[in-house]
Amino acid sequence: MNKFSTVFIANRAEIAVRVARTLRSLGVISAAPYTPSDAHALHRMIVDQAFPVESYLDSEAILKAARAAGAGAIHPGYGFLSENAAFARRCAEEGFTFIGPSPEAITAMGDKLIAKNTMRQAGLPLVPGWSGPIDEITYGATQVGYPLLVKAAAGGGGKGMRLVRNASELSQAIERAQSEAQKAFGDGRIFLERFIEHPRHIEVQIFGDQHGHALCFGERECSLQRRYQKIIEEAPSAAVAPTLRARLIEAGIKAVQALGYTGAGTIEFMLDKNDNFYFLEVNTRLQVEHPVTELTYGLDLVALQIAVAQGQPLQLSPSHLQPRGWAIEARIYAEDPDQGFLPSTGKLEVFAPPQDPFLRLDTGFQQGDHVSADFDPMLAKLIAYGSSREEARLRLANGLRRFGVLGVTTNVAYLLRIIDHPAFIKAEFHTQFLEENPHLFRRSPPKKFEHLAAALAASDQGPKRPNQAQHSLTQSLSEVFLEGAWATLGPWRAQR
Amino acid sequence: MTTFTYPSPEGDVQLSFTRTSETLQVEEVSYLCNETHVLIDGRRLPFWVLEKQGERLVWLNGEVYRFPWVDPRERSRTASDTGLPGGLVKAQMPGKILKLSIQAGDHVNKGQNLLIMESMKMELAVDAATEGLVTAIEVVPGQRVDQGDLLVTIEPAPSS
Repeated sequence: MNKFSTVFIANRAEIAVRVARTLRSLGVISAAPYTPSDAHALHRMIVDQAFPVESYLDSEAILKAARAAGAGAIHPGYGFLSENAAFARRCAEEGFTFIGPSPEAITAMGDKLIAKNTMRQAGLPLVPGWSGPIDEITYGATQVGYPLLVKAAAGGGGKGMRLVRNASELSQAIERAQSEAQKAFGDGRIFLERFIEHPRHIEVQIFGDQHGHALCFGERECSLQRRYQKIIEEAPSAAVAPTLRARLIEAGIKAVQALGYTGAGTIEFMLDKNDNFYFLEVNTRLQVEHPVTELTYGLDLVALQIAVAQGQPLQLSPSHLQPRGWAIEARIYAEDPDQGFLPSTGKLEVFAPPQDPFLRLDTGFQQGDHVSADFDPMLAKLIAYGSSREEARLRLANGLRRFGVLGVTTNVAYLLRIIDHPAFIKAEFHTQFLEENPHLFRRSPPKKFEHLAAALAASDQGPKRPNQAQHSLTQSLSEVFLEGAWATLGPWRAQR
Repeated sequence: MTTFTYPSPEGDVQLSFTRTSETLQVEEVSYLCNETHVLIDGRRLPFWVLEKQGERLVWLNGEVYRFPWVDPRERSRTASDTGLPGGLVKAQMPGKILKLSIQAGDHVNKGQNLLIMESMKMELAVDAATEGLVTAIEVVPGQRVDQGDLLVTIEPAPSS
């Protein structure tokens, strides 16, 4: 039985669409806000009821819309208000169930310093670090040692984080980190941490219910990152043997118990070369990369979140706690990897995702949509499942190779270069791998395809003329050549 | 049969649109369910072509290829060159100016920071691509800019 007949999704784009689909399958009415620029967005079209707001961060407007929808609960998604304790508290005051942990847990884990202290007390291993008054930070840096990271106390998602290789870089890094943290989180406090060279990023999915049950699923590996943001994630990790997995899960359970945690969360760790792992942070929400856990465990984590929020006990059979097969997720961003990952904006003139078995697509976009600079530039997540890592990898590569996107620049070709690289095939990488080896992933398309593309460009064919079945390329090229346009494509010459 | 020849550094590459070509066998181009396909070397691959801002973009096999494009009918009346002098610094993406690091009249070195801007919640440094004299600053902190907007003009130093 559903305690909530309507759930309000306080979010947009792919995560709003993803949550709405689970609600639909549960027979729950879905509602969501939309801003003027999202008036035609997919999430607005998919939910049962949509309500205009000026901003997804305006908690009072969101609560008003949830009230108008007659919602019993609010799902915050990720980003926006999802880790905002004041919003979680306001939800409770207004009589809504917040689908997430308690405001106290959000506050504690949102402050990286409190989070670390809490986890140290719970018995989780930590990276050496320093926090204290800002005027003593130079002393702190010598205590921690170089290389070190400057991090925002209220941070996440790489914002407000700077790598410092030596003392001469320290003051500028502090200034930028403080400024970025102040703007992103309204809190400019920072701390220092030893930089572990070439770690892997490993995280575990935790769950707690209102009856004291603690659950921890096996790991996700999210080591492939650019600008400290994940772009390829997988579950399980090739670097985690069963004994290490057992230790990670044990740490996850300890964390849930120490926090009295309810709902879904993620504990992030750094893993060094000697199988030591260090606690990084807790994310008190569903993660972007949650689908790889869903696929390998065969569980709908959003449905599980809703069950917990309704007060149901978490009682999964042991078979549900065994991962099966492999899942790999690639995040498709509107950005240009060949120009320092500059975000790209524009109209999605072509947006043609592959439709193959064992491929899952999570997106908030459709062909014809505009990609604006106002929001995160993630266009879609393509997730492949296989009985082995290699099978999942081949399915993902094949899917990306057929994922047509034109109108904005994307990282699809870059993702393909990574996925096809021997280091990825052997799963030999770490969190700095992409940044330290840009030369491995520069654009170098095969000549054969470049030449074919030139011919296709000249032939004036494409979605504009979909009805001309079996159009002859030769004929079209001849026409183009006769009109003289061929010369604009470089030194091509025709012979007859 | 039509054969196109491309004189690439590794030797001429021929593109023959027949079934007998030795180099690249393109057999047909077809349209199915809003998708365009090209049958090449016995495999059917989807492709898309888009004309945008003086370019033709071709999506093929996971990669995007860009070609400068002038419509043959437009070409006769297109000006020969509208290129920009090297000292014009333009916004490479839409965003907001956060901080200026220079003033008009400053001498800047190549690689020196000019300003910090923000786009999609990321801070990005805009640096001088050339050594020279800052002759004009077109923006102020807090201002929103679109892709292609002029930010700073630098009069390049005479190369010695």
